[in-house]
Amino acid sequence: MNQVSHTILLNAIKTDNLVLFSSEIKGCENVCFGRFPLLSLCYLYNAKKIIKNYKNKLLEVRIYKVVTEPIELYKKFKTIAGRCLRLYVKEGCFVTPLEMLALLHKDFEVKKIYKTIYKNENVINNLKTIYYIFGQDIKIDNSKIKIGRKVLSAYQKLPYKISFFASLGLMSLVCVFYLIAGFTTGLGTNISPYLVKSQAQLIQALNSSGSYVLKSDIELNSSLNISEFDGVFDGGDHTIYVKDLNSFLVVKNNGTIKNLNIVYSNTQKEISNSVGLLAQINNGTMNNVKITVDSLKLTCNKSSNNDIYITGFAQTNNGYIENCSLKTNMIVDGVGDGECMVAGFVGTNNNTVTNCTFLQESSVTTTEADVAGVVATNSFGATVNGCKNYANLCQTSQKNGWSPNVAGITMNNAGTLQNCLNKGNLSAISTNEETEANGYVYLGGICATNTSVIERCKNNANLTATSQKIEIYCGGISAYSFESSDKNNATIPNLKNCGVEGHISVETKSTDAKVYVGGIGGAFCGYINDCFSLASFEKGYTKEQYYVGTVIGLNYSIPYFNGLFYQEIFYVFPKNSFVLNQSNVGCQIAAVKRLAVEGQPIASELVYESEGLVTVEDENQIKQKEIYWNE
Amino acid sequence: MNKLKIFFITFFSLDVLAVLVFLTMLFLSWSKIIVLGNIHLILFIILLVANLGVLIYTTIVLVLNKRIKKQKSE
Repeated sequence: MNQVSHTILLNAIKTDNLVLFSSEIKGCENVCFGRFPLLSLCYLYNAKKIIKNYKNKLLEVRIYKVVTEPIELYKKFKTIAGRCLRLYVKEGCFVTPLEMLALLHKDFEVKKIYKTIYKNENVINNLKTIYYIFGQDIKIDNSKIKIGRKVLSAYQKLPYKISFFASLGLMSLVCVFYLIAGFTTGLGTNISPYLVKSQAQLIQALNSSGSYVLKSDIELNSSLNISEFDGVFDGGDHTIYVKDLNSFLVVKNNGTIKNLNIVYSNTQKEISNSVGLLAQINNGTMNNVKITVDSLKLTCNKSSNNDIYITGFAQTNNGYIENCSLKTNMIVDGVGDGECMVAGFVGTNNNTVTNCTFLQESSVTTTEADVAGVVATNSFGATVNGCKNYANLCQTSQKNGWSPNVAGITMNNAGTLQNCLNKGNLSAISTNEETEANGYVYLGGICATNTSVIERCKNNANLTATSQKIEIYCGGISAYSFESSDKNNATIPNLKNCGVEGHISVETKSTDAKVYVGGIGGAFCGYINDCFSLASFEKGYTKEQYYVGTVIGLNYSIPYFNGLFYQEIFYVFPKNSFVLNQSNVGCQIAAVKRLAVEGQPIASELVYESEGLVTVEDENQIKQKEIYWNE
Repeated sequence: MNKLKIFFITFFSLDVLAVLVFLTMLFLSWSKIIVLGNIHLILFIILLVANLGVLIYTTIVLVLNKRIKKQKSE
């Protein structure tokens, strides 16, 4: 081993060249450049690769072969040793790897290798001196060394202090701006919604998808024309005043609109397309929205290819409408050949309408436009629950071929009606005097036509139907109930715990115009469970034209049963139901119609006898029953 | 100490950048150009947690240093 090899070895350490070091190290493990063993030099020059591969081997070296110490090593060592340099001025001193690590402030490494490395008394004394000079306490206990923390100088503390104040400053900046934004304009999040105070902001809000809260009442001078709303709009119980009824406020609501009052100015208008006081399609949620229109007069130009809906909240509801209310006095004149339907809340309900109320002091009066207090059509699978109608609804019709429909809750029910109450007086009047008059009057306290479930609903108002020439179907719960012929959604009318109170007044001018009136249903087939009727009737049963029954006006019978022909097997299944006897009526079911036999209904004059349907003489007998309820 | 300096410099460069992005988003939302959403909230939480972390670390170091200094002087 010559001087050249030593230089190469030193250069390998300086450049952390593992290949070169490996090629030169053989037989040179114990080389010591003056005061510096190879491992100490590796630490000094931070030769990580060499340390990783040769650390254990070099730690085993205890006797060094000293070679010349290049001056550059001294210069580099001097800069890191500082005041500790005095320990290594004597001849024969070595800067062991342990001491070198201590001088380099690698306290963790010192602790780590202290246990395994060879050390003599001189090394331990040097370590104590080094750490004393550094101002750190050490405790040496057999094979362990404990090194205390170093006291930082003012210069060393500076980065920590700067970082402390910088973090504090930046954090404060972020928090302050976040708070300012939260309190001034809102952040558009659920926690901090945008604050809406003007018409411009309202338009921006409803055209985007953030969260918004109305902070003051707003008067709209122009139409909103919102095509789609996806966010959350909280009205904060404030009011939007709308001057002009123009189509819909929002075409499609996919988000949530809640706690909002909308007041329309008195409006008189001619329309040829559907209009609504809020949305055309609701796919989201409307909760606690109150709409008020003192006076609304619409002329509805109906065309045969375009059904027109006039609705309060949504023409089509695919979402949820909850706890909403409507107050209006509306007059609608239907002109033309098409269909026109007026519903307090929804045109076609495909999902859920809950706890909505058509308020007192409201009314809807139409000519040739069908009227329902809450929903026009309740689809299969949809639910109307806990809704109340206090509005007086009235339709007058003169046109031949037009069938006036009026219902307290829903016009057509194929879904479920639950816990609904009608307290608004209803009337349907046909003045059609054509010789070949056709059409029907349908008047139902809860619904006009029903094919499905009505549960715990009650009509508590007076019903009035008048016709010159066409037939009338009028019932306290439903005007006309029949089984659904839809193969996929086959249902049989099913009434559960429904009740009727109030007066039913029906009049027809012609003996051709039959009248089918019942306390429960005008025409009815299906189940009647736990129901009651205390309805009183203006007209009683007559063979000529008034088919009035305390329960049903017209019932379907099944003429064939088990292959045998029967005159009358009633297609009605009552259970635990009660009806108050009326002296001017005298029968529960006034007429029957055989399903499989063509022809006119057969006048029955029958007091239907079934354990499931009991006629009582005193209304208190019904009121004491468990099935009776009143709100 | 060099490593510490590098860490602090890198951290605060990113920190300042994130704060600038955060404030820009705020101003854009004030101007109703953008709607703040969950990204803004996540950025706010990251900034808060990171700065709070540094704040706690530096506080511990400085407090400990003070305590050691006091012990030594005693």
